[in-house]
Amino acid sequence: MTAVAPVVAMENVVKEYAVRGQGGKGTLRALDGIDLQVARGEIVGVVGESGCGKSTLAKLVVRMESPSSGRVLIEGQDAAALSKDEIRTFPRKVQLVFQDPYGALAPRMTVGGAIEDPLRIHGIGDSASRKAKVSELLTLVGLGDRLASRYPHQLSGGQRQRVNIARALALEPEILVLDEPVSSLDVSVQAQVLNLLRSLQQQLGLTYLFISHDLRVVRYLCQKIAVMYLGNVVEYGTAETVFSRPRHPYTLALLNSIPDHQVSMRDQRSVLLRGEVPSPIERPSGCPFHTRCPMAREICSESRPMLREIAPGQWAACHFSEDVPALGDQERMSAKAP
Amino acid sequence: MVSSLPTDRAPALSVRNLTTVFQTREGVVRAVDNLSFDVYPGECVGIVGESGSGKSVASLSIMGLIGYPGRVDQGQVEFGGRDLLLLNDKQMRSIRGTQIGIIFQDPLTALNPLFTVGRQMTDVVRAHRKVSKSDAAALAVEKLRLVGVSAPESRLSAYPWELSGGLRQRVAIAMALLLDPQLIIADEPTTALDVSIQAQIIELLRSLKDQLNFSLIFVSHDLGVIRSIADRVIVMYAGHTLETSQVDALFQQPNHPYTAALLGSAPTLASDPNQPLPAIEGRLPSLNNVPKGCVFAPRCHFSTERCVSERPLLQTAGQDGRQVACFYPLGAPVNEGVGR
Repeated sequence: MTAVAPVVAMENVVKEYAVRGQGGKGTLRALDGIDLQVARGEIVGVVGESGCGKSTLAKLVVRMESPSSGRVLIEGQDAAALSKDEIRTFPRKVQLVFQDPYGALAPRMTVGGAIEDPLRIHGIGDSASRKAKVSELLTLVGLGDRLASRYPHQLSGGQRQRVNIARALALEPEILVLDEPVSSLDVSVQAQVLNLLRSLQQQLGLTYLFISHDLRVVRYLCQKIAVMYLGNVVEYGTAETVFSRPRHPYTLALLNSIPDHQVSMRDQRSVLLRGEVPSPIERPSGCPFHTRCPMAREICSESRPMLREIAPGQWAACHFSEDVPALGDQERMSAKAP
Repeated sequence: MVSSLPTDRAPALSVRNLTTVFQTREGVVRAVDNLSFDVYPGECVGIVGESGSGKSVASLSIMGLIGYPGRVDQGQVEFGGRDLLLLNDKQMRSIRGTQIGIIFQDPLTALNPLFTVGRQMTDVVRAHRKVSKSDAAALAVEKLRLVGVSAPESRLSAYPWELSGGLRQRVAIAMALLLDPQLIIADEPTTALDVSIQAQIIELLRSLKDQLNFSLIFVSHDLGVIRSIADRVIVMYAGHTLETSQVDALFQQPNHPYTAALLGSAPTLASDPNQPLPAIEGRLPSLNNVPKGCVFAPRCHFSTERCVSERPLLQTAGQDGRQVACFYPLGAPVNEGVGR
């Protein structure tokens, strides 16, 4: 999708899990043939609702899971086919930041210890130089190095997430996979962390894969957007195009569902998506979205639409992309705060 | 839509000077400090705030659900001609469920996993009314249909964990509505749901409220959700009420610097991606150590010495019962001698 060699490339990635339920054994298809490329220095947002596969995608990129089929290439190398030596250096390329900043930190380890840990594991520097590095990292994420001796429970949620970011940066990775990094933070603190993530990305030239359910946050931070539904990327493009002129009915419905504090109740649209996401164990035939799609026709339950370029820099997997209506009121998209 | 206070009617619920405290190792903390508000029939009052603002403790206090180490220290909660805070547990239990319905954030924990939906719903009915099992079941089916549950008869035999998140929350709403309460208290009822389901549930609550004319107290941290459902809004911070206003006026012209800062720091689809978000610096105050003056003063751009030493009281500002607790409210003439 991009001309520049991508740092992350997913090629027809499928991830299946064996499940056992009331109806006996089954297969849960979490990812259903993902093609996604992330260029160096880009911030790509992956959005979708529960069960769309966005967190599974994150796990595959950081090599916590391996694909059932297809390939995940990090800087051109297949993450699943790394040699022993390469596996050891892999964390120096890709790091993950989790949603829950408290759960991600060991409660009995000091902040300094948590940030130093990856350096120690990878045998980088001596004790003194590692301490210096910890203090440098704490400063980088906007915390004073006096926090190094504190424990996670002594910190606020925002401070904890800064510590997690500092730890993820300790090995100087090129790619950060951020799985809902601001979802558990209060609004006033969320803005601080978003600003920090943006400035770190610019300062260090990082590549972000930013997983979130919050379209408002993704719109603000990301340059490219991949919209996922039931294990598929249903729309991909620049944030600007996808949010101003969505070409998949699901993206349009998601945008319509966001409660916007800048819009009065009287003006809010009530185009609601009916029903809920189908089970990934019993996937619908044809287009995965057809069971909830207001535009669905016969062909949609029969043949699965492939991702195709609808407009320059914008791909959608819909038989009727050209017919997707424009967002109800365009002034909402450009409305400025009072 | 009501644009002014419906003062011609009596409020359904009237909260006065509600203060709820918790005993902690560091001492007594005031989780809700002097909260007063009214809810009129058919009106939705939204309580918005961040962690530790006291919004959930306030709703639990009204419902009489504050347990040790917390207790309601003072105040009145007038409802149906009685002060709920003076009732004993048994009297309160009979009010909860019949006259006050409750919807919690997580329907999976609010519903008992060991019993079917039908069993739980009929138990609620039969705990409060002398009716047969089949009549109770018929009422359950009626309410499930009301909240848009398809094939309600067949859902009675389902266990909560067999239902999807959205369906579970619909069941929880149907349970809250079982005995036609005059007041529904919903504490973050859409926070655990996906956006498309959240939109459905908000739409449902809005139409049920108009149809059944109950009063609704809707607690949320999400400004967009509050704007999409509330008629009036209470903004809380560190246990204190900083501002109350009609919903549109609040969002169009916030009077308290905290409200303005909160609105500014929440990204919207219209936020300029090239500008840093105007974050509120600093952190939420710990309730063990609430600032002596204005609770927001340490993070406020406009704070003066007065704000640090003296606590501003909630005062009427403008029309429609608008109130703000700030010495220098936004949009008001600047006081002389105040260095802004």
